[in-house]
Amino acid sequence: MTLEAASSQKTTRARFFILDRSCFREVVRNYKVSAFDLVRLVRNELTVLNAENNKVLWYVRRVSSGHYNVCYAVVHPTVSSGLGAGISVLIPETWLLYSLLTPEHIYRVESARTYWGYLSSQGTLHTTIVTGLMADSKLFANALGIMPQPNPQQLDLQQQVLNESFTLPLSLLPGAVIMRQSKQAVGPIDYNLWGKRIGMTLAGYCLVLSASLFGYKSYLNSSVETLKLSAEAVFSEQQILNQRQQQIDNYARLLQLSTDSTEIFAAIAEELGDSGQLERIQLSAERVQISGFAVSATTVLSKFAESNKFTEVKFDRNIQRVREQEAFSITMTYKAPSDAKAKSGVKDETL
Amino acid sequence: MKLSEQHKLGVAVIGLLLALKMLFVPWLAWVTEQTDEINQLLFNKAKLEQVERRSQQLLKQKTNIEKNFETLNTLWLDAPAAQVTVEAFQHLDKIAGEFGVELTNRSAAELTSDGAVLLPISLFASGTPEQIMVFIHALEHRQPLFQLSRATITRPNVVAKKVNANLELQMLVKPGGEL
Repeated sequence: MTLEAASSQKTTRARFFILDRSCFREVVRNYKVSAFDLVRLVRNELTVLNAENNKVLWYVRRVSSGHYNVCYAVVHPTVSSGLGAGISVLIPETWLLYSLLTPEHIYRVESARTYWGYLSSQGTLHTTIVTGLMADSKLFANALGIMPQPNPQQLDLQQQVLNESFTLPLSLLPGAVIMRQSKQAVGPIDYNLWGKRIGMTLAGYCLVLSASLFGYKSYLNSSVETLKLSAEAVFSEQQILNQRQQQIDNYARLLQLSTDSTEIFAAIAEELGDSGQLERIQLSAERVQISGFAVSATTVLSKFAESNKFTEVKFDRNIQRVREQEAFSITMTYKAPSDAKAKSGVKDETL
Repeated sequence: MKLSEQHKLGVAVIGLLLALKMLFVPWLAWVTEQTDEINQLLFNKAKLEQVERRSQQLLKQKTNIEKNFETLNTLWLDAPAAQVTVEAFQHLDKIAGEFGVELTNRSAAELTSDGAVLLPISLFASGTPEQIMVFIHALEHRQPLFQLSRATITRPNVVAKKVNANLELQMLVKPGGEL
C-alpha cells in the first residue's frame, strides 16, 4: 500500500510515493570506511539485495567523518511493477522519520499500522509495532534502555505527508529514484516518414556543407586579393631595391678599383726627393712611367725599388749620359694601401 | 490505378538512383572542385603571407640601400643625357678656373654604359706642377666625381715653370631616367 504525494506543480514529471512499512523490508548497515570504499560496499550490498527482481532503495546518512549509516529498503517486485512509466521517487516512510522526529523523544506514529518511533541522539532510529507487550510505551522505553516518557508524542504520518509541508533531504533522492520507460507497441516502420527524415537530413547536410565551402572560399578569395595587393607593392619595392643595389654594386666596384692619383704623385715626389728631375710622368691606372734626369739613374731606381709603395720597378730603356747627368725612364706599379680604396663612402653590399 | 508495394519500392529505388545521378554526383563534383580551389587558395595565401613576412626583412635592407644610394646620388652627375657634356665641361671649367689651370683642348666621347654610366673626357691642361696636382685632386674628390684613367704630365724643357697635362677622365653619370 502506498501513499502518493500531491505535486504542487503540474509540470513536475516525477511522482513521489511514500511506501508504508508493509511494502518493503528495511536493512540498516553501519560502515566505518572512506567515501571511495563506501561506494563499493553499497554497490555490493545492492547486488546481494537485488536478488529475485527486488528493487532496492538506498539512503546514505553520514554520522561522522568516515562513519556512514546506510539504510536499504528492499521493495517487492509486485510493488515496483505497479509504477507507471517515467520517473518515480519511492520513499520508505521510516526514512521520513529521520527528518520528522525530534531526537530522544518517543513518538506514536500513526500509519497503516501504528508503531513506536524513537530517534537517538546519535541518529539511530528505533521502531516497534504497537502490539502485545509493546502496547505500552514504558516497555518500549525499557527495551531501548531509556527513561520512560509518560506522554509520547503523536505523529500522524498520512496527515503529515498529505496536508503539511516537509523538507526531504537531498541525499535521500539518488537512491530513491526509479526510472521506467514506457512500453509502446512497435508498429510497422513508416518508410515514407523515415525516407523524408533521411532525405531532409542529407539535404540539410549538403546545404550546410555547400554554404560553408562557398563562404570559406569567398573569405579566402578576399584574403588572397588583399594579400596580393600588398605583395605586389612588396614585389615592386623589391624590384626597385634590387635595381638600386645593382647600381650601387656597379659603381662601388668601379670606385674601389680606382686609385687616388694625387697619392701616386705624392709617393713619386717623396721617393724621388732631390735625387733627380722628372720630365714626364705617365699614369695608367696603377701603372706608372717616369722619365727624367739624375746624377745617378741607378740611385733613383734603387729608391723606388726599396720603397714599399712601388713594385716591379725597372728601367724601360737604356740610360743615356747627357752632359753630366743620366737620362732615365722607369716603369713601376703603385701599391695602394688597403684603406685608401674606400674613398667613396659607398659600401659594396649585396642583398 | 494503385501501385503494388513492390512497384512502389522499384519506383523509389529508380527515383533514388536518378537523384543520385542528377543531383548528388554533380554536387559531389562541385564539392571536389571547390575543395581543390580552396586548397589552391590556401597555398596561395600561405605563399603571400610569406611575402608579407619578407617585406619586414626588406624594410631593414631598404634603409641600408637607401643610405648607400643617397651617397651615390652625391657622387654622380645628375643631368639629362643632352646636358651631360655641357654640365661636365662647365664643372671642369669651374675647377680649372678656381686653380688657375689653363685648359687648352678638351673633348668628350659618347656615354658608355657597362654597369655604371660614364662620360669619357680627354683634355689638355697647362699650369704649374702644383696647380695641376690640386686640379687633379679636385677632379677626383669633388662631386660630381671624375675618375682619372690615364694621365701624362710633361715638362717642355728644364727651365719651364709650367707643365702640360694630358688627362683622360671618366665622369660618373646617373643612369638615365629609369630611377
